[in-house]
Amino acid sequence: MPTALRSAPPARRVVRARELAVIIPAHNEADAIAGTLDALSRQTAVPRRVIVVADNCTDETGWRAAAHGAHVIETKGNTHRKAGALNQALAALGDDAPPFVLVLDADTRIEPGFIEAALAELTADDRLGAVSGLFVGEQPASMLQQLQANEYVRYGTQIRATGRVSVVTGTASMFRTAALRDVAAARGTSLPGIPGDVYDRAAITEDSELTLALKNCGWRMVAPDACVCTTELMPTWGDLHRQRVRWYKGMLDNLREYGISRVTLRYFAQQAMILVGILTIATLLLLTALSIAAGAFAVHGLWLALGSVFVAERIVTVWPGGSRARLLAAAVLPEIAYDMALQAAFLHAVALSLLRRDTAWNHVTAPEAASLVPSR
Amino acid sequence: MYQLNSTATGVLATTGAAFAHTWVAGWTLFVAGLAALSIARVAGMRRREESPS
Repeated sequence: MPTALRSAPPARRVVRARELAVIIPAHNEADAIAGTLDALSRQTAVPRRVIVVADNCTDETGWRAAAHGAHVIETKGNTHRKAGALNQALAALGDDAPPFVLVLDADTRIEPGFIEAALAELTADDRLGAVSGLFVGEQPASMLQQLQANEYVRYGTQIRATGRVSVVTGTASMFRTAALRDVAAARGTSLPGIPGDVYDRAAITEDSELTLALKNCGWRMVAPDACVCTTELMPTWGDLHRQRVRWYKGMLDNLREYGISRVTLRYFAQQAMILVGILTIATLLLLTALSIAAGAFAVHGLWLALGSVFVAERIVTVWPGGSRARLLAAAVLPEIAYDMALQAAFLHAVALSLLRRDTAWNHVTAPEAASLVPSR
Repeated sequence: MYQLNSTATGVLATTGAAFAHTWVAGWTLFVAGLAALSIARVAGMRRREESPS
């Protein structure tokens, strides 16, 4: 490819403040916020209005965001974490709110075409309430992080192949303001939460709750290929466990709140599938151990052939992740161990949900590698 | 009062193991079907992406 073509900057336009507002809730994200704001400035459609919501920060998040040209507001008396911070920021937009709002995590970097593609989708279809980002992991620094990266690639593959968006991701998603207003108006009556709130303060996974709320209000959602965002990967098994317990429990709590309906039936079925899968694998392991102990263990060709279908599926679905992703998938055993770790987190979440116990919010401080994106 | 003798316990264990084997086999076939469907979907998607429109 000629050098001139390779280095040619993409065509850019400025998205006016009355078209779009970007809201970035941030709690002690001084290490990551610059990278997030730099990614916004590299968009093919550069947003003019960027609001960083400094939520109970004790570091330099607000100062660094302001130094990067963002408008910084501080939350007042917020005790409802991210949901509370977002509610305050959305309320501050008031009646002059633009037709579209991009909600972006402070440790998430969006690809250059994200905003342009999301705006095009929302403008083209009035029934669309949200455009979800397709998240991929940052550069993996360990096998554990590569396993998470593989999982995210598969999630993206599944969305592309089926066109179904299960959750409008909290990492980076653009919303139609009219859809958010619908949700706020329905809170306290047909939707859980406090009237006037966009986000349910009681939800520990506010993105999956908002997804259910939007679907209940009849809004559609998509996740286009161009809307890719990069998010952090958990550095340790303990961090991963805490993150997943929160995600699983958040969804279980949301489903209990909403009950069975046309919208939630698929989600209930997904949870049931996970549970039955866990019980079946436990049974398989028990039967295998017993048959070995009894000296009756034997491997049959049919089951080996079926095993090859699973291996093929693992490799095919992770193909866009590159050679390291494919090699790890082909090794099989690491991904089985990873799946079992996630299953343990699911069982932990089920137990907490049944006991109606709370779970901790897992905030991982951005490591040095995550802030390598050059600052302006 | 209603204690199982060794024969009854053995029959119960065998029946349970047979049921568990059948369940695991059935579930594995079901999930393998889902995996094959997933492969077909991804292959179809790649074909659509690669074909000139």
